[in-house]
Amino acid sequence: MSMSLEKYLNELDQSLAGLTAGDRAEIVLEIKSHLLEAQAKNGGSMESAIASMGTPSSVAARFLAERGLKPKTHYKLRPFLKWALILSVGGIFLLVASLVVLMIQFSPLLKIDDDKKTVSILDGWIEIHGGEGTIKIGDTRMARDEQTNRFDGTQPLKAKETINIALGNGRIHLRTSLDDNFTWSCKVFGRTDQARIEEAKGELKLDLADTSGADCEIGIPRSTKTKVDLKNGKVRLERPLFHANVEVVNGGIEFIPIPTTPYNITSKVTNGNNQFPATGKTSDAFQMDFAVTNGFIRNRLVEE
Amino acid sequence: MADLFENWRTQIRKGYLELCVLTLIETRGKVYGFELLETLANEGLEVKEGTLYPILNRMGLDGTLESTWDTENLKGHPRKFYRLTKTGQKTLANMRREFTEMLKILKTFENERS
Repeated sequence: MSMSLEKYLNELDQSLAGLTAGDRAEIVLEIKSHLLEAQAKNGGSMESAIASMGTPSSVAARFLAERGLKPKTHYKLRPFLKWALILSVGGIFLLVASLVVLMIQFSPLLKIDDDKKTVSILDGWIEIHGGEGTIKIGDTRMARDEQTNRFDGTQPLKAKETINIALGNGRIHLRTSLDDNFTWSCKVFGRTDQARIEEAKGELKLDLADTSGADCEIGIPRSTKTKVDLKNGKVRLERPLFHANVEVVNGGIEFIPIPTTPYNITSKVTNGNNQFPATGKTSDAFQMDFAVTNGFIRNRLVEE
Repeated sequence: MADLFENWRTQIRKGYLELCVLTLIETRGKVYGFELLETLANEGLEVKEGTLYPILNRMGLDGTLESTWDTENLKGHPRKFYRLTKTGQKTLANMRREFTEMLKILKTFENERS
């Protein structure tokens, strides 16, 4: 950042705006005298003489401060910059707002096709094929026949232990185990090194949240409290004899009850179809708490 | 701790620097900026040129110093020389008395020990 002596003195003069022409000339001359002498004594470098002095605006600010004044420099530019900023931020905001309005107007956030068993979210950005068990997110398609790896296991459940299942994308099929074993049989899309089974604080956790997706068959021991968190995809509960708390962000929950078994059901769908009326509370019933943000909750018996 | 010391040093040096500058101008009769900077630095009182010149400028405005441009210098560029005015001499005398008094008070406190 080298600067010539003339340029430096010119900028200093401009930064001293507010002083009389005579005062400015006096200061500029003295600084010039100093810089020339410093250059002569330091081996001829004007650059280092200037560097040691400091920037023109900082030097001018000192002179002004000694007189109880503040620098007045560059104020001309500021109102312009301020307005330019306000206009551009405002413009961007309006653009985003109108895009959002257009998106909502012309492309439904959520489309459910019961015949094809598909759910399309954000104009197809996320597509879930219930029948095929495939999910497409953006341009990434996760299908059954694509490269999958197995993540299977069986673990006996201790008394009062609960089950927690977390998955980002995919399908979870829950059934009741015939014994006290928690079983999982998953096709994991891609690598399985992010798939974990963890046991802590009375909870057995099947953590697939960090995998790119999975399709799982799960066996839950009778009367176990089970929590399922799924971001995109479908959870199916088939003839459950256990308690379930299921949350799905995009996609759906399919519930196939045993007709003679009592269930207490609470269900909430933020955007989409909900075929479940809330049931009354019955003691000795299995508690089913369902929540879907975008998608459906469906009762298979109603459907058939 | 370091912050307290630095802060204190900045404050005490400001007044002390002005006293030293005026004293040097008095003893040498007339001095120019670069010469002052060199002399102060040689004695271990490092001052940035960006600090000293504004102080000299202000002392010129308030009548403590008067200045003349010496254009007869053989090195080629004119230099601005500073002298003490009558007011400046009185101010320096007051400053010196005050500073001596301060040192005396400090000594008194230190001697309480013995």
